[in-house]
Order: sequence, then structure tokens, then C-alpha cells
Amino acid sequence: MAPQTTGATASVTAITSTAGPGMNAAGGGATAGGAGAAAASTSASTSSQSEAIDAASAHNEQTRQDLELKLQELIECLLELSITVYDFQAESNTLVHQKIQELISQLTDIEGFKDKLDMMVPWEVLSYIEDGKNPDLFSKSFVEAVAGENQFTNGKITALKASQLRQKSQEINEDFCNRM
Amino acid sequence: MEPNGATKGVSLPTASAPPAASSASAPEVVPVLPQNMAGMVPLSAIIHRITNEAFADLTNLSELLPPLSDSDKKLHILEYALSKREQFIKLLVLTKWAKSANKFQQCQNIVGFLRHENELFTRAVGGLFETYRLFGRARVRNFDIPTAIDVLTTGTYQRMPSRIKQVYVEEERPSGTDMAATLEKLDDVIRMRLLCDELVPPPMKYTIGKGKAKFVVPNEFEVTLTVSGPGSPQEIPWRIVGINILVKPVGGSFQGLGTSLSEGQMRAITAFAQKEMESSNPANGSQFGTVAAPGSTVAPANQSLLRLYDYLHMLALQLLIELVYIQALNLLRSGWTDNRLRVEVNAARSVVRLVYWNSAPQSTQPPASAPAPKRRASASPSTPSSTQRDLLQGYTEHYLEIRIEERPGPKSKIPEGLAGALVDPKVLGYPKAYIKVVWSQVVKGVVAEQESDAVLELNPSNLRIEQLLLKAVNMHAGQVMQEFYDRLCSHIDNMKTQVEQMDGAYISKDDVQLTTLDFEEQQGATGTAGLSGPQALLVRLKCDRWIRVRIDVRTGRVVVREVGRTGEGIDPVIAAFQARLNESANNIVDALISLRFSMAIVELESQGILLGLQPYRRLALAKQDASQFGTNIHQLLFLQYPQHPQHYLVVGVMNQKFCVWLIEVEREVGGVWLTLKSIQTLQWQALKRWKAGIESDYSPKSTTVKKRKSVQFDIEDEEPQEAHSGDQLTIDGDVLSKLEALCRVRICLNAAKTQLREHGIAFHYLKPPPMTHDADAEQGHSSWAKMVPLLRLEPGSISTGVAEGLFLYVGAKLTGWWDSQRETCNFIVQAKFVPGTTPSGMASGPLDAGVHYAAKTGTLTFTYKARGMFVQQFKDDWEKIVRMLKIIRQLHAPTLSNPHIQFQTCHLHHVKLSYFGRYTLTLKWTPASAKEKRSSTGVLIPAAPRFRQGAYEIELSEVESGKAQVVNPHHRMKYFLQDMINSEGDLHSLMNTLVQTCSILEVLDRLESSVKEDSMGMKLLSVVPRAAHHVRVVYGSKYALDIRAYSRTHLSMFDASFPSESYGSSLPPPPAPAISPLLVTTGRLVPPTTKGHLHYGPIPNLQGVIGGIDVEKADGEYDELQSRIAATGVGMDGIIGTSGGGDKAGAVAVGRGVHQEAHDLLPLPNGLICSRSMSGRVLYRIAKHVEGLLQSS
Repeated sequence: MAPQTTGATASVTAITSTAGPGMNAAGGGATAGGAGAAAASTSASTSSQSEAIDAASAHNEQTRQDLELKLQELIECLLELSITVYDFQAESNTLVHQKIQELISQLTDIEGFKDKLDMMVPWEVLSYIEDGKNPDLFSKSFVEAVAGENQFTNGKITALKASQLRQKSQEINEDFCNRM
Repeated sequence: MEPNGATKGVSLPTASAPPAASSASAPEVVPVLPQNMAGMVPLSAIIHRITNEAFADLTNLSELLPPLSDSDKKLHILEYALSKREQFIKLLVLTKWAKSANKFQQCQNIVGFLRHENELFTRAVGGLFETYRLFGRARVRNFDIPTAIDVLTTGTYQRMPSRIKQVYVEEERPSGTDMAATLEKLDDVIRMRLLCDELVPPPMKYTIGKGKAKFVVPNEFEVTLTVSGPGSPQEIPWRIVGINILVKPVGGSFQGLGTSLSEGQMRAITAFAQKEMESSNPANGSQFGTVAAPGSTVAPANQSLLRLYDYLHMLALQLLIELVYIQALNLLRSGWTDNRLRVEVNAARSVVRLVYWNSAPQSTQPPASAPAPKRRASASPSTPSSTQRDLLQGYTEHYLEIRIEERPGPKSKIPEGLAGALVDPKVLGYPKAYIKVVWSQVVKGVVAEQESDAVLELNPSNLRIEQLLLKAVNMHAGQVMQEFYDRLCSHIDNMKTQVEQMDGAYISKDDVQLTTLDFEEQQGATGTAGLSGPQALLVRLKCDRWIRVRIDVRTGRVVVREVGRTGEGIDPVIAAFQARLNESANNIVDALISLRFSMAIVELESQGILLGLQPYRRLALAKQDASQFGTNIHQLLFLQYPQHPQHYLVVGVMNQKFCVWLIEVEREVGGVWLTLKSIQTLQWQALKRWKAGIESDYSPKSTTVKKRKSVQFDIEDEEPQEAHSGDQLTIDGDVLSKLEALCRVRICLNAAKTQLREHGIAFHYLKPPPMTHDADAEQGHSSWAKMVPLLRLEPGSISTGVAEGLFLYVGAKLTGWWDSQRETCNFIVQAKFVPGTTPSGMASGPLDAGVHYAAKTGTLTFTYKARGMFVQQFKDDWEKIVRMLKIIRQLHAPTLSNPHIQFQTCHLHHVKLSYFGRYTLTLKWTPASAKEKRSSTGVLIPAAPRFRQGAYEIELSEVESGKAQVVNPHHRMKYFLQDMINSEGDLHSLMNTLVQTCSILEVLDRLESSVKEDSMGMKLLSVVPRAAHHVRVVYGSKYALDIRAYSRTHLSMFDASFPSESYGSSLPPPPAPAISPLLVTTGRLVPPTTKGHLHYGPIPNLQGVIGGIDVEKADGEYDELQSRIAATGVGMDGIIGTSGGGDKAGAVAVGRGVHQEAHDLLPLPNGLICSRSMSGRVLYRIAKHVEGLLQSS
């Protein structure tokens, strides 16, 4: 039981030592909270790993834009189809057929995007859209929540430092080892 | 306690380590925020889902739309487009939002990390608190310093706790000599105790050694005991060291089926045995009541071995029963299947019962697979008594029972003081329980117990239940076969006295044999060889056909095979016999007899086919009809005659005898059932005897079978005859063929009688002349002759009014059936002339195809195949002959004589006459033509009356003299002459007419040939015959002259233009005919009833021409013509008296000069009457006159 306890405390200190300053910087410096901290970290990283990630995200972005265009086309096509059908004339039969063919090919194109696109969206956004709300509202509230969380943790760390917990724990450690 | 999810992969560097913390030497480690994917969905999945849904909806729509109306289609498409558009707009919004997804992911990761940190904080606090709480009570023991000093100073652990020492430190082993001595002492103690203090059960043999006493009961168990413990040697209880159960199967296919007891079971057995030894129950109690009665006194210790034995012995027996049961269950799966073997065990599992030869499980009736053999002691040569039959019915099943049986022992308890080896074992009464084999045959008292026990013994050292069972069933099968044999023998003994009545059912002792089984038939009989009883029964069916009856020991079924026919499958008849035996074997005798009859019937069936009969086993007869064969009739065989499909020869078996019938059936109108029209019983035995008589004493007399009146067969004819074994059984091929022939002749006889009645021919039966043959043949003959009686026909009824007084008798019979097989018989009619009435000069010989005349005996024989309308044929032939006889009788009449006519041939079929030496007339009878005549278009032409009745026919020709130019002048009159003879039947008048008209017809022929033709190419003269005595001569269709025969010697010629009656009033009566008035018929003088449709003119100056003829003077021109005719070579002397040589003119010799004829001529108005001799001249003159008239006009 005793070593576990010590392990736990050690990890706590380690994490605080590594993550602490960033958090502090984020919490103190940036008004945007966690998001700002994250942005700062991306810009700061120069490793090859981050480059690869950048490239991947750029590709994703490109694909997403293509998809957007395609979706717009499809929506347009559906609109045209509905208009054609709405005032249907005898001669517009071929036109309807043509539209449906077009629709199918566009569906196929959009279906093709699913393998290229590596993106995750949260469930909540889906329900926002489904409810007809602006998904950016969700983004906003989420960012605010992250900032709050960050400040909360930061507060705890600051409090720990303030009570000299670090020194105390070292003493306990030493004492316990001697006793054993 | 690493952060959760660190391995999920690197996504983003979150925070770099502070420069102070990172060492220069270590590579730069970028801290990575763990990916947090909670509540995230891949966008690709959403796209996939939506596009697929859209496509699927579109597909559904395409299937949904075709049957809808245009407006509905429009509506559906519109709905689809709008809803999908909405969806995709949402997807578009999502995609647009996804632009910031990356950022969102980072936030998500941060949130995840922060939450994790918070969690760690919380845990750290909790952990510290827990440490604080536990450490408050933590203590440690003080060091054991005195012990430590002790160990360190002395080197040993003086104060080690005895418990530890006891457990972990090994004691010193006693030496071998010590042990040997101890054990020897122990042996002594045990020996003493066994000899003096204990009661040892007699079956337990013991050996003592190594401190133990080993008790062995062979094939049951061995137990090792010892005594141990404190106290005096007599009181120390026995202790079980080891138990070994010796009950196990040995050898055979049951090697692996042992009941291996597990270790636990053995421990339990040991514990139970120990407990039993120490218990207070009295020894040698009832095996099934081992629980001691409450309040019983405590049993003495010295009976503990008895109690041990009781327990282990019962255990061994129970195990044995279990083994038997297991083996028996295994038997069910290894060849004793077919539900023939049943294994039962009681609830206490002390009795295993193997029910063998079990009948089918669904049938509730007791199995009758084999009869219970009767008790040997009570076996009597007589037939099975009624009590025995009850016994046969009463028994239920066959079984072999293996049970734990209790032997009756001493009732009293073993006295308490009894101990030591000197006690008599009989007092103890051991062993009480034992295994007993109970056989059902023993229980039923069929087999003596000693007999079976010797064979049926369960050997525990070689426990093979199959072998035991095989022994039992083999013995049983042997008994059954012996019983079969005994029954057959007793049947034979009984039947010896009444062989004749037994008919085909007779079996001699030679026909039955008991033999041993073949090698193949001994199924799995290993170890059963040499068992009692022959196991197969050979029974002769017929001649060299034997059947072999045995019992299949596994199923208990009776198996019947024909000897020598093993490979070809079983005969259905034998299979039926086998089935019958299996159904109820008690009546083997009946079944056997029935089998022999069945075989005979099968043979008859094939023989019937050889004879051309069609066999049927069943006819669709109504019930009341079928009952006419008798109620207990079996094995009916119907043989149908192909030529007479209504008739059947029926063979059946009734009361173990063959019965034969001839039946006639007819089909119900519109129904499928046949109704019995007639039935006749045939006594085939009599036929057989008769046949035997004929064959033994072959004489022509006996082959000519006579027919007799009665159809019934009188029973008293059946006298007991000397029996030939086997010969009596069957209706063999010969007899059947004779039966068939006999029936056929009966059928033909019926047909003949029917036809005779149809034709209105009266007949009666005739008694045959008494036979002078030997008695046996006489017996048979007389009875069989009744079946085919002789008939007497009434000649008057065959053809009316013709043959009276001609024949002595007319007899009819059917022959040829006995000798010629498969042929129809002959219908023969014999007619014997009254002596003196036979036509003279007729030679013997065949007259027609089936008619023969024997001049010597004066008999006519008509022979026909009895097939079709043979009576009609006979009637025709008869008519033909009788009609001619009528003519022939007239020929022989003394009144009939004419000098111009000679008989040439007189035959029963025709009469030939010649007249005037030049011409011939043949008279014959043509029977009625039965054939229908049809026109070319198929219309039925009604036959003329003469064809319907039959008529005389005349053929005219010339005497053959090489002068072909002369033709019979009566050719043109042929049909009138035929009508005449048919209507009058008078030969005299025919002959007179011939003579009368011959000359004038000759002249007419000549005139006709010499006459000239007119300008149109038509002949100026034509001759029209109008009746037998009447000819009209027509001259150029203007004038006509009627020529008639006026009397026998005179002719009349009249102008046809005048009514023929006109001459009658003014004429003198014609001269009276010179012949008898009989021959003058009215028809001769009757003028033609129909007048010619042509109106002829009167011949001018006819009177003048007639008047100009001078009777006294010769007519030179006419004579010249006559001589010219004569030059052609025909002798004219018979016709016209040519007085060319200046002979006396008034009397010309006609024929041979017997009669004289006058040259008369009597002129009359419109004609004349002249004598026959003048007629030619007159006619010539008139002809010339008319010729001249015609030429001048």
C-alpha cells in the first residue's frame, strides 16, 4: 500500500512539472483559454511529426472543401429535380431521368469521399444541426468549458505549490524509508 | 498510474517540457496529449450513411413508382427530392463546421487530460488519508533474544515447539529384524484368534503372513485384515487393510465391459465393510433384510468375520448381477436385435431376466413363435389333448432369469458361545445366498430342473451371458423341433387308418426326418456344440421336394427353406407357410398339409398355363356366389378357358381335399361383379381312377367316350381304393388335362344344346349301352359318361317334312376331347338309313368337307369342330343331302320314265340327267346363304327369298361329244326351270318341260343365229323367255309371237298382239294330256300375267301362212335348213322327225321309237296349235313370212 501511494504522488508531481507551465501560460497569457494554449503549442512545434500532421490536416481540409462543393452541387441537383417534377410536362420525362442519373453519379462521388476524409465530429454537433441550431454555438460553449476546466486545474496546482506540499512529501518519503 | 489512453497514438504535441527540467543529454521528448475520442463520430461514416440511405430510397422509389399514377409518381419524387435535399443541406452544414473540427479535437484532448489530472488529485488525497488511518495501528513484535542466544551458543534449536518437531522432523525407522519379529508376533496373535475365538465362514479361505490375514473367496473377493490397537489381542477389532473385488468378466467380447470400481468406491466399500464388522447385526441374516430389528441384542464380536463375509458376498453377487445386466444390454446391440430379446431387471437389481424370442412389442397377445414342447413324461402317441392345448395357449413368454437366490438355512441364530475352528460349518449354513439361473422351460415343467442345471450354469469365472443364452435357446429350439416331429408322427399314426379320406393330406413317416443343423445354420453356437436335440426338420412336399424347417435361435422365428433352393430367394408359398408357422406354430400339421396343397395349386396354375388356360386366384364374385364353393374353402384357383371366357375350371381345397368345379359366370350389366350362372361339381378322383383304368387296360372301347344323360355325380361311386402314397396328393398334369378336356366337352355340349335349341332341333338323351369292361373302369366310366351324354336328334325337326321314314336314327355326340389336348372337341352326327332306303349305286366316301357316307353300314356321318355355329353348318349340310334325297326318291319312283331322259349320276349332293342324248342337266341343292350382301356403296342388300331358304339349282350343259357349236337350248330358260323345280319340287314336270320345249327352242336358236340384221344393226328376231313353258318371239319390235307348251305333245303359237285369253272362248278345249293329272299343274297353261309393254301389231296374213302349211307335204326349204343343222353334226333325230327320205310323214319316231307323234296342226284365230314335231316347221314358216314383211316394209 505504501509504495503505491508514493508512486501516485510522484506521478502527480511529474505531471505538474511537465504540464504545469504550459497550462499556466495558457491560463495566464491567452484569453482564449485552452484553445489558445493548443494553438500556441501547434505553432511552437517544429518536429517532423507535427509536419506530417500538418500535411494530413491540410489534405483533409482540401478534401473537405471538395466535399462541400460536391454537396452544394448535389443539393442544387435535388432542387432542380424537385422543380422539374413539380411542374412536370410530358417532354420533361427525359430530363427527370437525366437528373436522377446525375443524382446517382453525384451520390457515388460523395460516397467516394468517405475513404479520403479522416475527420471526427462530436455527437452534440449532429444533434445541434438536427435541431436546427447553429453548430458554432456549440463550439463556443465548448471552448468556454475548456477554459473553465483549465483554470480549475491551474488553481489546484497553484494551491499545492502554495502549501509547500512538495517539501512535505519529500520529508514523508525520507522518513518512511528510514522506518522500513 | 500512467495516464489512461497514452497508447492511443500521437496526435498533437501539447506542451513542451520546461527548459530547466529537460537535460541536455536526453533526446527531446515532446509530451503528447492523449487523444480523447469520447462522443466522436467519423465524418466518413455519416457521409456513407446518408449517401447510402439516399441511394436506397431512390431504389425503393424506382420499384414503388411503376404501378402508380403520374400524379402519385410526381408526388413521390418530389417528396424524395425535398427530403434528401434537406438531409444533404444538414450534411453540408456539418461539413462546413468540420472546418473547425481539428481545433475542437484539441480542446477535447485538453479537457480529457485535465479531467484525468483532477482525478489523480482526488486519488492522491484519498490515498494519503488511508495511509494515515492504517499506520496508526501498525506494530512489530519484539526480537526473541533468548532463543537467538540459545541457537547462537549451542548450535541447536533447543526450544523448538514439539508440534513443529512432530510434523516436520522424521522419526528413526525400526530395523528389519524388529519389524520381522513384530510381524511374527502379530501373525501368532491372528492365528490364535482365528483358531480359537473367531467364527470363520467356510467359503473364506485364509492365509496368514506379515501380520495380516488374507481371506479369499474365489471369483468374489479377497480381503486382508489385521488387528491393531491397544487392548488384549482377543478384543482388538479387526481392521481391513485391503479389499479386492474379484468379480469381473473374462474373455469373449465382454472383456471391456467390466465394472471397474473407482478408488472412491473402493474406499466406501472398505468403510462399509469395516462398519459392518463392527456393527451389532446378527450374522447370516436374511440377505434382503440386513437391517437389524430394533432392540435386538448386541451381536458378539466373534461373529464379525461372518458379518464381513455376508456384506462382501452380497456385494460380489450384486456386482455379478450388474455384470450380467451390462452384458445383456450389450447383447441387445449385437445381433440379438429385432426386439426379440428383452432385458428386465427388478428394482432391487437382484434379478435379471432375459426374455428371448419375444414377440413384436406392439402386439399384446402372447408370443406364439414356437409351441411349448409337451412334457416328455406325458408324451402320448395320441393327438394333443385338450389340457395340453390349454397349456400351449396359457404360457406367455420364454425367459432366462439370473437371480440372487437365498438358500434355506438354519432358522435359529448362531449361538453366542460358538467360536473357533472346530465349529461344524453346516451349523453356520454358509453361504446363504447364491446365483441361480432360472429357465422358463423349467418353470413351465417342460424340462427337468436337473437337466437344465447341468447345462445352464453361470460360471462366475467365465461370465459370458451370451453363451448361456445360446445354450438355452438352442435347447429350446431342439425341443420345439422335437415337438414338431412328435406331432407329425402322431398325426401320421392317427391317419394310418383313414388314409383314403385324407386324400392329398397323407404324409408318411418317410416324409418327415429330423436332422442336425448345417454348419451355416449354427449361428454363433460356440460352446453350444453337442447340445441335445436335432435342430432341423425335413419334410417332403412332393416327390423329391423337401423343405427344411428350423428355428432361428436368435429370433425364435421358424425358418423354412426348400432344400436345394437356397440361393434363389424364398418361394412365396413357403414364405406364407413360414409366416403361418410363426403366427401360430401349434397347428403345424394343418399348416404343412395346407402348404402341400398350396404347392400343388401353384403347380396346377403352371400346368393350367401350359394347357392354355388363364389362371386367376380371385374372381370378382358376389358373396353369395362365392359361398357356393363352401365356407371353408381355401386356395381357390380359377382357370379360364380362352375360347369360352365365361367358363372357369375351379380348383379348391376343402377339408384337406381337392375339389373341382366347372362354373359359368356372366358379368353384371354395367357392373364389375360376376354372377355365377351355373356350377357343377366334378369328381376328379373318379376321373383319375378312370384314367388309370384306361391306361392299365388300354382298349379302343374305353377311349371312345360315350355321353350320358345325368350331369350329377353320384357319391356312392366313391369306393375306397388302394392308396398310393404321394400319388393321391396331387392333381397331376395328365389329370388336369383330362379335367380340362372334360370341362371343355361339357362347355361344348352346352353350346351344342343351346345351338340345337336355337335351331329348333328336338333331341333327347340316350342311355349308353352297358359296358363289359372291368369293374373299376366301369365305375369311373359310368360316372364320367354322365358328364358327356349321347344325344338323339329328331330328324323331322332338322328339316321339316323331308326325311320322314328315311333314317333309322340320328345320333349326335362330342368326341375327340379325351385324346387330343388343347383342341376343341368334335361334334359328330350319325344318321343311319332305314335299310332299303339307301340310294342305290352310291359309293362310300367323303361327300363334303365334314360329311362321309358309309355304304356298307348305310350311315352318314357329319363331323364338325365344336366351335362357332357348328349346328348351323350341320343343318346346312343336312338340308343339302335331304333335299337331294327327295329328288333321288322321285328318280326311283316307278312312275317316272321318259324315253328321252337318262340318269347319268345319282349322288347325295347332285343328280345329273341327260336328255335327247345331247344335253345334260345337273340338279343340286344350294343351302341358304348366310352371308350378308352389300352393295359397292355398303348398303345392305336384302337377300332374295330363295337365298334365304336355300334352293335347288340347275346347271345345263351338253353331253360332251366334241361338237362345241351346239349349245343347250334351255340355257335361256334356266331360271324359269329353277323356279319351277323349287316351287313344285317335282322332277317329273321338270323333265316333261324339258322334253316339250327342247325342239322349239333349238329351232329358235337356229332362227336367231340365221336371222338378218336391220338397217340399224338390230337383229330382226329376238327370243324372250317368259315362263318355263312360254317364249315370246319378237320380230323387229313390230310383231310378236307367243309360243307355249299346250300339252305334253302340243304347242300353241299365237300372235302376241291379241289378248292371250281371247282364244279360250272360241277354241275347242285342248286335247286331254296323256300323262297323269298329277304332273299337269295349273301354272303351265296360265298365260303370263304381265303384258308386254310394247304394243305389237298383228302379223298380217298370219292365217294365210298357217293355212298355207300343208301338213302332209314336206317343206323343202325347212328340210334344207334342218339338214344344214344336221350337217353341224348334231343328231336331230331325237327332236324333230325328219322325214327327208320320203318316210311316212304322219308318224315320226321320237327317241328310240317308243312313242309316235302325229303331225298335227290346228289353225285358230290369231294362231295355231300344233304338235311338237310340226312346231319347228310352222315356226320357220311364220318367221320367213314375217321376215319378208319386215324387209318389204
